[in-house]
Amino acid sequence: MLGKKPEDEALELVRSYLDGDLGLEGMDGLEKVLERRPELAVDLARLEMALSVFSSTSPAGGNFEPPPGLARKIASESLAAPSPRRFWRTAAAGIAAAALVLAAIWGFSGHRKNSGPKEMNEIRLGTIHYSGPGVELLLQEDQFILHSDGAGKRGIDLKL
Amino acid sequence: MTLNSKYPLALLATLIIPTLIFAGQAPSVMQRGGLVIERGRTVKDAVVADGDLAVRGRVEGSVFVVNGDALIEDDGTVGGNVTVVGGNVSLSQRAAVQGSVTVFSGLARVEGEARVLGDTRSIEDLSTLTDEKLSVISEYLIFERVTPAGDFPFSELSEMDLSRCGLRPAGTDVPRKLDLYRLGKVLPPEDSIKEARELEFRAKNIRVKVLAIKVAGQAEAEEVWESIREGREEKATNSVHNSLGDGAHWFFRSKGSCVGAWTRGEYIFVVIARHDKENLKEEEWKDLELIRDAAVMELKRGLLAKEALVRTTEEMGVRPSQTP
Repeated sequence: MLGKKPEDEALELVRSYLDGDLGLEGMDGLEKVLERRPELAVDLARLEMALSVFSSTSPAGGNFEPPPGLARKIASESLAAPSPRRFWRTAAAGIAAAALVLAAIWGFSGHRKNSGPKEMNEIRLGTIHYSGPGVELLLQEDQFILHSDGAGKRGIDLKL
Repeated sequence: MTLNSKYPLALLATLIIPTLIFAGQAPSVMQRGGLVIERGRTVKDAVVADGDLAVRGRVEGSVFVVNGDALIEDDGTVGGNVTVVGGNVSLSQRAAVQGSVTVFSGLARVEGEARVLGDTRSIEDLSTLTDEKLSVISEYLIFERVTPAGDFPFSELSEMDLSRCGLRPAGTDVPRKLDLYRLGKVLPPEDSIKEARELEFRAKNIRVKVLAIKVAGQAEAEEVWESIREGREEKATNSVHNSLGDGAHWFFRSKGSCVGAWTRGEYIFVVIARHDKENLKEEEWKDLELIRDAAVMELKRGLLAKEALVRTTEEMGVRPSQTP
């Protein structure tokens, strides 16, 4: 799932995370990240996996040499023994983030035909031609075209 | 079976039969400004412009909101799609949407155990949807599809006056087809026309045509409407077509002409304003649209005035045929 070498991919993702590319520090911010930038959900899912790969390879395996800053960060946030309060706070944030990630991945995969909590799903912009059950959408450079209930059926049709 | 045991059956029948009779007859609601579908109320479709829609009851069909938020509150249900343009969607606990939720220039929030059977999508920042386009959608999305009451004689339409737009009458006709200038002709099914009237007005560079057609029934009207749409939708711009609720209406630009049309029941009305040039500047388009909209308003006023007259005379106990 992670592509080439899991460790490399993990390092890359964790580094970008810790370098502040996401603009946040710590797992507590994941919910806020997803609320603000839901398109990052997939990246965060991979980050979750990256963290788990790091956790499983670095302390025990010894074949993965993280950079000093990374080790310090991980030590301070993930591997250091947390206080009970911090542990539960982190656990709750982790569970919430995992739920959001799963919901987002579920949505991206198109399997949403049942009930349960859902989060916003975002269509990436650009020149998009989307056609699906119920809604047909064309986003072109200078036009907004929408068939709210499918072309040719009852609904609202806009072409502006 | 004892007498007492029949009471529950009778009660059941009393409850079920009216339900079956009135099933599918829920009215659609389309309005400018905020709207609340209260708990226990059922509507067919709900369309709102420039305001928020709160659904606490049931919408059997679709929800469409422009320049406002859609709030599907606890136990509120929507049988079709929820689409919001220029606003947000929020589904509270136990809300249910059987179709899809789509948001343009806004956010979708689905809470707790709310259910969406279709997809949920939102585009927070949509560069192609400018404020100007939003205002066009808002302006033409809500439209009262006026049709005349009773046996309205189309000859009454000859009194239409567009002189305040600088247009002078240029003839009337009883057409067998809808001639839409450069946009081609539409031929209703043979022998389906019950009544028709075509009025033309002219100014220096502009022509306006008003077409009123009454056909045998709603099915025939829908067929004519599809013929009007066919092949013209692709070429149209500034196009807002709404076929939710009872009937349909469509406003668009194409080939130097702007059109406002609507259908309901067995009636079809088309107003087309045509400039001599095909390629117009934006200011020229806007002027042409003003003239078209003035003609649409004038036509609606004529139809409603007659309807009001019929109502008044009926209330006075006078048969419509006896009115002057």
